[in-house]
Amino acid sequence: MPTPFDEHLALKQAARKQRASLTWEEKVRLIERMKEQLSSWKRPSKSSTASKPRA
Amino acid sequence: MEKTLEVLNRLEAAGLIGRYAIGGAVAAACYVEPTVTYDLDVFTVIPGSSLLIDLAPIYAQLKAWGYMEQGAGVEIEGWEVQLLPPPGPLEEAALEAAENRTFHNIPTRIISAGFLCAIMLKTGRPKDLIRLSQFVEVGVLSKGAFMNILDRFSLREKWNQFVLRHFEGNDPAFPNP
Repeated sequence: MPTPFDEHLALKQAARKQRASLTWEEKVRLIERMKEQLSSWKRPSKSSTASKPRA
Repeated sequence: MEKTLEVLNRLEAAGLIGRYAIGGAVAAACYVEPTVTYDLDVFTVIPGSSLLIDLAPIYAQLKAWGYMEQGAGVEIEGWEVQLLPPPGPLEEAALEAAENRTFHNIPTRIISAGFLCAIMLKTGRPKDLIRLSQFVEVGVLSKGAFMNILDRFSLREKWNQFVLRHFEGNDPAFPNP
């Protein structure tokens, strides 16, 4: 009887296989999208946290 | 990436760089699951350079086209392009044997799977060895050609250590002879 974790791993494995089966052009587009998503995530700058009280 | 490749092709046509080929994670994505990367690693011969590699004329031309230095490379149309003169005979041979490809009709070249794996084995960083395992698992390597590269560049011992560590010493199956 597969556990929820087994099912989770199976889903991840299926997603990996699906990504691996893309063409090179599709994979590069995927990399470009991942780059954009990571670029939109910004860490708070030092100046925005410097004056805040620390616990 | 089309515009980035067009700029590289213009540099090659202008004789500022010699034959070039894409390596690193973008080339690896041709064969295995893609991983995020900001860099476009480009192996290329720099014309006229011997011991001292002078990238100044290339950077000057790129600056004239509006592309600025960023990190260890130059930002070209959203990719940080790193121009890498082959550091040794393995990379020189890899560049020579690079495969012609097109990316949305733009001609380019990528390092072949066998040479990419040999370079990863030589470099030996943890991320290279993980990626090398993926190449082996998806079965894109041709055993005879790959072993030939390993022998030509004295990498057989490193390969044996890799097999011991990642495949418990059992020679991985190669679907292609």
